[in-house]
Amino acid sequence: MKILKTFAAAMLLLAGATACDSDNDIDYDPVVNLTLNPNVSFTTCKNISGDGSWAIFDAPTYNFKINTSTFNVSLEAVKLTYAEGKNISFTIDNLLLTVDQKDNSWTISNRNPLVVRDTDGNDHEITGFNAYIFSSGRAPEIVRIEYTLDNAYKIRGVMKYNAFMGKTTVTTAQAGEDPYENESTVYFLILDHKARKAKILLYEAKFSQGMPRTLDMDFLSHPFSVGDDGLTIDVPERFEPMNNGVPVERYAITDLNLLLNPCRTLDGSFSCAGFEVAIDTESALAIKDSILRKMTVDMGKY
Amino acid sequence: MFKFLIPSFSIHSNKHLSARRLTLGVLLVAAITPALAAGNTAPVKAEADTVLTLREVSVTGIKGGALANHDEAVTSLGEAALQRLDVVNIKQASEIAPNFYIPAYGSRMTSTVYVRGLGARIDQPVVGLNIDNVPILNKDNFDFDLTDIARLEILRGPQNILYGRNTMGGLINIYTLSPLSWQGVRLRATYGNHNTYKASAAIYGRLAPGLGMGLNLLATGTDGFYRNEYNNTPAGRERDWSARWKTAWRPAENVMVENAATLTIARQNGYPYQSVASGKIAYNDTCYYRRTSFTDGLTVKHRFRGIDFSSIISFQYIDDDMTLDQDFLPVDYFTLTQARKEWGVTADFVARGSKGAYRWLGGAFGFGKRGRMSAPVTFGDYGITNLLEAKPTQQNPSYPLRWDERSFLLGSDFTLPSWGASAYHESSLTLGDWNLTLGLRFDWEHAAIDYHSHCESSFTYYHDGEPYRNVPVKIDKRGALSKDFFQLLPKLSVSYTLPASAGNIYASATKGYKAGGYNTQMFSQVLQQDVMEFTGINPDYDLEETIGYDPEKNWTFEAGAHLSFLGGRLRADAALFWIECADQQLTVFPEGDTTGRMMTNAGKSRSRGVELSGTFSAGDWEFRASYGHTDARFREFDNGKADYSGNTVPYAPANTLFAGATWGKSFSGMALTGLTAQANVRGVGRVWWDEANTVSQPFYCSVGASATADFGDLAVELWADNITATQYDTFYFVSIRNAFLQRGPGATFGLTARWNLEFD
Repeated sequence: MKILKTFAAAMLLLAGATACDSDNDIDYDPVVNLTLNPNVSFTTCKNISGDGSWAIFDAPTYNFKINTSTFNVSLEAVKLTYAEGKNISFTIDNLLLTVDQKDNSWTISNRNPLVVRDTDGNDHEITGFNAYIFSSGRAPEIVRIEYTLDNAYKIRGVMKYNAFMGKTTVTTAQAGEDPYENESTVYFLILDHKARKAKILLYEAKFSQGMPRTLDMDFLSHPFSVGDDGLTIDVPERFEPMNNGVPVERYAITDLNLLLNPCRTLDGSFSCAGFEVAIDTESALAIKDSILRKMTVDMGKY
Repeated sequence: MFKFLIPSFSIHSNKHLSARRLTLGVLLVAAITPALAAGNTAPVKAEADTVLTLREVSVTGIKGGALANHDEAVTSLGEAALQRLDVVNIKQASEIAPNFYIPAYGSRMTSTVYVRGLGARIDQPVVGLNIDNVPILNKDNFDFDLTDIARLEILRGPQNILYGRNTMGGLINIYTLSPLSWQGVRLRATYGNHNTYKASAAIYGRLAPGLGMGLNLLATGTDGFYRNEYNNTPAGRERDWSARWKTAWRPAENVMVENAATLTIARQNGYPYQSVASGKIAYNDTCYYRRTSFTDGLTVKHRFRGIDFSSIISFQYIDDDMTLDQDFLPVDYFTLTQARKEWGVTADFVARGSKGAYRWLGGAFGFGKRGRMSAPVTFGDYGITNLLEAKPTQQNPSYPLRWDERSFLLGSDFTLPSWGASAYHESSLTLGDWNLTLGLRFDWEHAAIDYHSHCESSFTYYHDGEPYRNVPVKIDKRGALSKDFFQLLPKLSVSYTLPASAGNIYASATKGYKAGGYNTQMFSQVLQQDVMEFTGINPDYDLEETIGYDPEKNWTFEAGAHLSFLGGRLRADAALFWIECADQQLTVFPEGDTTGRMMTNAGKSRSRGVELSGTFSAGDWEFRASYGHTDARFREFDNGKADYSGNTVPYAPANTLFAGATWGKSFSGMALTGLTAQANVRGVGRVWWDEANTVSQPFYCSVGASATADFGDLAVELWADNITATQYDTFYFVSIRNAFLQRGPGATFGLTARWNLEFD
């Protein structure tokens, strides 16, 4: 498609464009200020030194100050919750910025293990810091942020709104026929971390060559769990997706199983009307206008 | 001033007028040949006006015309030939020039000119039309009747260098009779089968030695060949009127001013499309085309210090309304109305001069036009059921949907401004028998569309027979799109004058160009898709992709000859051409349940062919023949659904043929002063109707003839066309998965009376 917009730009619309303020005019000022607001993300945290389980908490506010001429980055984290009842605020200086010209992305990482002091005066060690920022030429967007705190807690920021595109492969029920593939379906997951539920929306879904036109489908909300590989959605029961607010019996779904590696990939499978559907997708950073408009409307609903 | 004088011939004697008209036509043709064959001792184009003067008869072309186009393929018809062949509009000139084809289908809005495999049925044409040097901006205004055409010439091959936009396939120049050339009264009445009539009256006079005016009125009508069997009405009924007021003023020897104002009114039923399945023309909703147009062109020519300056300024207005039963079936799918008002102005400033063996021409051209169009589509009950309700119900039969009203409107309103400017130059150097010509044009054009699509309706999902969910449908979409096009167009030609006034041979390479733009006809389709989206079904089309199309460019390589033998009694023209076209603009009918026509750009195409034409006069006989063959194929055309590479380009014929013979004799001392008889055969085909090359019209021929008896000022003619009632199709298309065609007219015949009274 000729007109592509970044999905992350849509995030900004609902996040109040907090990453888009007058300081972000990268044409005139080498320092870029980016903020990841807690209302568009949450934190998953693994207690490495404890029972190894993952917990989910509200996200902190992350304020990045990126100097694009010195490639130096400082990060302020306000109220990072890493365990029940425990939260800290700190500032990291001297992070390293790497720019990839090919896909207009920025990667921020730490040069060495960092020791930071929180606002209570306690020191903490930050290792394995990695943040990924995508820039389409408009305002840059934060897509991914991960690090380890005190060698005890693996912190992973998960966005509330996640869009994926890639390969949807459908094997027919009859042997001998070629599988059907399409690469235009957009999978949109809206994560409610408080309810531990994921809303799954499909745009331009098509599961066979004979399906005359694509449909948008609402796979409803389903619980998710957090593990080492990411967020898992497992729904073996039959359910009818919604199209235009109406259940579609013809495309009833069973055995839905999805694995979301936050801000990276969405893989999985399900059965639909007798067809086996396999998904192999990545974070969608460039989505066509017509789908972006629908996603913006849907983001406003949830 | 360049003149041919026939001192022994006088045209003032009314008694021998008819014989002289015939002989005049022959001599005009014969006179052209020596001009073309003239050696370099007598430059063909030395003056601003290329003028063929026969006593007071003159036809003029500011930038050249047939008299000077020795390095391109040209067919020229003088008044006598036009009268014999009853050519009063461009459609009737079809096939007379090789590889030149104008099928008659649809309405007067849909005239399409195909030349050498190039042509476009909607939006911009590939062949331009100039009337008295004024370029007609809108292709939808090409088809109207003109009487008293003094000369019609068809230039094939890119004419962009001198004539600019939309001439990449060629140019039709029409020159009407000047009141300074002829003064008198002309009356004409025609009646033929299918209640066909034509009545015209014209008066030309000199108000002062250098000031002449002419007023020409015309009314025509026919019930046509076709009948709508649904309501038993004539589907081909037509009524047309036109008025032309021409002023020619020569205030000084070196100044000429001409103004031609033309008003045309067309009212026709039109669109006699026959269903292939039923074999009938039968549709229940109204189809018609109504057009009122006005054009005023002011031409000023001034010779100063050896340089000829000319300006051609025009104002053009068209107000038309096309209403269609867009499914062409006796069911209520939908109807479309396209009502438009468009204003346009053009200005062309030309200077030309020469110095010894060097001749040059330069100029600047600008145009601006603005159109307002309203194109609402009204969905009917059958269309709602089959196009809007069926698909979502099929997808989800447990929740069928039903529209809350059985007829609703999709509204589309557009504003279409466009403007452009260009500068051009052509230089020609004559060295002995050789002539070298270089030309260059810089062209800029801006095309834009402001659109407003709107619809307000609603539908309801049902479940187990009860209303489940009501969905309001509200569309109010506004937007604006624009494109700019820049082109540099070169031309190089070489010609060699043969000895003994035998003519010349030439070779040329020219770049042609047709601007892109926006096609409004698919907008209703896009809007229908938007409505479908409310039912949960995603659209197939992207708006800008669907309505926007890119420029078309080509390179034409041509070699040819203009030959003259037997003292000009035998003339022959030949041309070989090779055209490489990129992004050829093609009109396609999109797949699925659609009715619109979409302009798309094919990857690359190649067109190769040959053209032969000639005239021979001997005694009382004159023979004219032309043959054109074109092999136009896609080199690359994959629209994402199918690959048509190697297929023949549709709609343009592979072959055109014309052969005619005329016998004329004049008498004295009796009431009958002359007899003329002519017969001709025209052939066209094969024409493929689709890019997949599955449906075609094979080659066919039709025969015409006429016999004219002259009684001094009065001439009476019996005429007939398609005498053998050959059956053929002029058009084929698919709409909402239904195939339609338009049959060619059957045999037509009639009687014409002409009375020309020349003032002494």
